[in-house]
Amino acid sequence: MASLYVYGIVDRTDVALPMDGTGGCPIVALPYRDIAAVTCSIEAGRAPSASPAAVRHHEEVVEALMVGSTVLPVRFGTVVPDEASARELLAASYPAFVEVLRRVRGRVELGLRVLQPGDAGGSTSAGTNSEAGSSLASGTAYVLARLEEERRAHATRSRAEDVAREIHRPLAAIACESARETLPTPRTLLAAAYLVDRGQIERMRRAVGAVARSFTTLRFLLTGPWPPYHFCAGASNGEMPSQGG
Amino acid sequence: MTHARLAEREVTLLELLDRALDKGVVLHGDLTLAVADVDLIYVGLKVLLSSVETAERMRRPGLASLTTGRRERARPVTGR
Repeated sequence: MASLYVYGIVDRTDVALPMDGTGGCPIVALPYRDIAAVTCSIEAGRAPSASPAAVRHHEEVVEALMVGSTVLPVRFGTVVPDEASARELLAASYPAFVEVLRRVRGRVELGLRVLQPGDAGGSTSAGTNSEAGSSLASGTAYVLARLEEERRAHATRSRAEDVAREIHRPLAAIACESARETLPTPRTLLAAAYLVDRGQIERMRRAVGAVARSFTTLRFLLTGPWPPYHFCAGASNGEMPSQGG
Repeated sequence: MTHARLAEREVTLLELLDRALDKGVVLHGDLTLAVADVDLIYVGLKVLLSSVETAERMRRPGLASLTTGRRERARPVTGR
């Protein structure tokens, strides 16, 4: 009995794509009212591994769907047991899907990653405060050193947050919605996603270029357009769609 | 392919993996998430940046868990 691999949710009831699904089966739309789950049959238990080729194929399908419809990309590797389950999921989340489809319609995601040099900010404190070290018990010196580390880490994060905010503000102003995280890693000052009207893509690119020229020690990586991966949270089962990003 | 193009392709791949594996719509109910059973295959060791990021993210919840109900992957990412 075949299971169904799910690529995305679209705001139409049929799709015609120039490619087959994973495993070579045709990609079909399973409709519910005016939306559909885009699926292909796969052998039960034979979902694709997360290889670069498989993930690229998944993305190619989702991007092809973007040409003729609004699509909410479903997470890679999602498999439902049968058509009835797929329809049940569509029915149960119909209001949420419709709302999120509305919010992303005519829009794309642009991703920004701002990298700082390898030695920026996060350098370790050079051990204890050497003037005090000799006259204090080693335990106290240790605590003082840790407190100093904490203080520096906090100052680093605070500085990073200031810079991230300064970078993000003019870009968020162009976007319809945005999501960001400061210092997800020591080298990534800012990771952000912007939901942008298709007609504003060039404007966003120019704005990122302008910001990058103000921060010459930082490296800016702008990718996209992507399907709205970061802006589908409200469509996941059991969640009510929320405002903003 | 030139070195620059290869690097560019890898960056794009990392961005794609981050999105397709960790974001997007999460469907619940009686279904299988294939990724939980699978090793991620990274292209070479040049993907250090995202390896660190993904490894760190796996150690703590954060922005990645905007979509609730995300199941933790069974094992940490290893470079190959």
